[in-house]
Amino acid sequence: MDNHINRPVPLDQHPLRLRKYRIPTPSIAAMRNLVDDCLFLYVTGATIQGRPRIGKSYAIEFMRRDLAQRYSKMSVYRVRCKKPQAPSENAFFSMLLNGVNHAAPEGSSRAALRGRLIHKIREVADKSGDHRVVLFADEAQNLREIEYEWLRDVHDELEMHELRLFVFLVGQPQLVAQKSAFQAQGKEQIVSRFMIEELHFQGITSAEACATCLSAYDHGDYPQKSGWSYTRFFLPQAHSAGLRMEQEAATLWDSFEDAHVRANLSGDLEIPMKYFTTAVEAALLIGMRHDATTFKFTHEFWAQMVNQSRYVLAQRAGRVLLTSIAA
Amino acid sequence: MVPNDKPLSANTTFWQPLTLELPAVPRAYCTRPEWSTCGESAWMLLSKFSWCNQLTITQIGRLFAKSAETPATDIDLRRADRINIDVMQRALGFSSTTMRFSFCVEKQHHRLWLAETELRYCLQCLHQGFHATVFQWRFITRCPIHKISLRTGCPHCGMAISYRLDSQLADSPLRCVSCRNLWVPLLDKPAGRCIPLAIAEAHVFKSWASYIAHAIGPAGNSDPTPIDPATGCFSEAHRKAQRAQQMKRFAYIATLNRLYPTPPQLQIESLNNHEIFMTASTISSQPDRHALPLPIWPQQQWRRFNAAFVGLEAILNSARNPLVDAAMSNAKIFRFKNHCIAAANALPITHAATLGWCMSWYGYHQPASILQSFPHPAFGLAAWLAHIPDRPIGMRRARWHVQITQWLHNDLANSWHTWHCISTFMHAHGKYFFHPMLSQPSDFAVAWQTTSQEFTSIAH
Repeated sequence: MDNHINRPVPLDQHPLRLRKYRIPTPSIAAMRNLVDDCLFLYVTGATIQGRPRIGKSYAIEFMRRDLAQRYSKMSVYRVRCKKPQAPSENAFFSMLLNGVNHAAPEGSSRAALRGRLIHKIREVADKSGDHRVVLFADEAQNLREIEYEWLRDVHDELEMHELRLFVFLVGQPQLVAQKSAFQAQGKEQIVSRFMIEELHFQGITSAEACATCLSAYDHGDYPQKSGWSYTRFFLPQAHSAGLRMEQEAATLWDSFEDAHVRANLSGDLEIPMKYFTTAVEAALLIGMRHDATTFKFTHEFWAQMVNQSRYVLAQRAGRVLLTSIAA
Repeated sequence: MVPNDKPLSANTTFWQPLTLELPAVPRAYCTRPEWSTCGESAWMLLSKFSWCNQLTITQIGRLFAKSAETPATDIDLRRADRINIDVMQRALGFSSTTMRFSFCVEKQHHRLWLAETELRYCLQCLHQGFHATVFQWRFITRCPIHKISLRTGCPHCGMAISYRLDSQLADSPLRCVSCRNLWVPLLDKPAGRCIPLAIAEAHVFKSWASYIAHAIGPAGNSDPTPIDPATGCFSEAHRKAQRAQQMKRFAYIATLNRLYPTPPQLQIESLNNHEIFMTASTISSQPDRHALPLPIWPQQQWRRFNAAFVGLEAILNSARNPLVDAAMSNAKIFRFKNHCIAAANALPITHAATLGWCMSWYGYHQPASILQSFPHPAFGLAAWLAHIPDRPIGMRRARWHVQITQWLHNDLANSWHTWHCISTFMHAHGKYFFHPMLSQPSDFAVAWQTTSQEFTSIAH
């Protein structure tokens, strides 16, 4: 590594080093379009479902930041739905009060908790001056019918106070089954409010998607508009010689595919965001030690980085667990 | 908003790492400072807090009670010392100014009994979600904004509303515990909210609060114990009589409240007004010490009022005589229909100022008294003397007497100027009201304490 490179910020303050950045993916782009359409057309809810560990929670965090950037006045909340033994109104409203950062999330009657939630959401919306309130419900497959009813009550009460609640239910594929069940039971009051739109959330499923994600490392500057892309920041000499992460998409995809096949993992390759970013971060941080104008990523290097990302281990662990549950 | 028609692949700003850090939002209670006004009572502030957060009395008590010893579930809201003001200020998001006007008194006060323990309110103010601290004082009988009488009890069923932080306030904020009637109907409407007062209206309540704080004086004194001299035991009848007397003493504030939207200026404010004293030259004329007139009151009956007092009274009289002579030329001076109240066109401002000035310094309770001879010394002057600083150790009596004489000249002029300001204010509002308490000579005397401290330090 060349120590004489004059970077705009110290290495240990870079977001990649601190893991404080979010990379957009094609699925996140689709989710962003869906959220934008819902906000524009006042469609008050949508379901976003995908396999576990594929990057849905990562996408919610991306969307919260993206919405904060584009609609700075809009209230955006995130709650993580737990599955208690039996649905309880207290537990449900305490979860929502936690999500809206109320100082007293529990310890009162159900009516008090409900009132507290409505007042808090109203207060934040009034202060910011936007009547739209977005709620991302992570692990939404854990919600039961009665909890949807309570959520509907909140939605209706906020509407009475001239606020519009947009609920994005993000969860595992069981969400689709839940929607079908509600449709079959004629629970239109739930489906029409929260489940009209549907999005299948995927990991990285092709070399092209891989290239799109990698291009973010070439285009994104830190600090902003400094001309120091993520690639240039960690590999300045190689970057000056023309190295771009986007060009490595095919090799990286092949490396994941090789690992997938060699480990006998079933199904088509769908790289979860976590392992993808870990492999790229490892490539930039390890590659930095060998930075030179002649530096090139090789297939072996990428195979090593895929190994470093623990993709195969995690997939195997997940499958074994699923198999044992099925047995 | 326009939908994002452009394909995202073409949107280069999107395909970049997002490094925006979401601001850390601390856990907080729901607060609505924009629903409140400076001058609003702690009862109303806490009721709104309770309305928004629906906490139990134990939770609210634990949050705001000052010490563990205080019964956290039943707190007197007239006194600020029972509440942790810093915590309340932070939790409710109010400024320290708002909090300062939210309580009747800061700590235990010998005149706290003059503030009602039951909620007193203006119905119109309450309907828009406002209640002023000054409404709790018994001598405030009308809302200065809406000009209607204050009420007590639930507007719907008459059930008493306690002015305390108790389970009633926590469980049923802004709603009657008995009939469930909501006192702020606006809150029941879609997107309902309380309406804060306009800045000018808030200023009215602030000025009343300041005036009352000055009128009741600082805490620390205590009224004499109501002991029956015949039996030497505590007497309820004596206590009632004492309180009736105290109420009578503050009745002038009730009259001010009835006549004017804001109280007249205090002398402190007037003194800050550096205008030319219109009568300064007249007042500062020196009496002839060798030809002191004998007092009209029998000196044998007022033995404590010695020659020095008579000398000072002569200065007062020499200031009074030309002023009263000028005022007497006005034939309408005695046309007071209701004791101390007169129409603004009944006499000019300067004569009104003279009347008030005389009442303050001579201790008259009727303006007409200035033409009568009362067999007692000038009580206002006596009160002034009682409040001037003690003679510093080491200062000669003669020099101290000269100093007091100078102060008296100065205060006579300032007092007249204060009365002139008060009369101008009253004239603008169409009615004169004369009462010796409106500008008390003792307040001027107290202001000399600082000067006296300087003397003491020089003497040391």
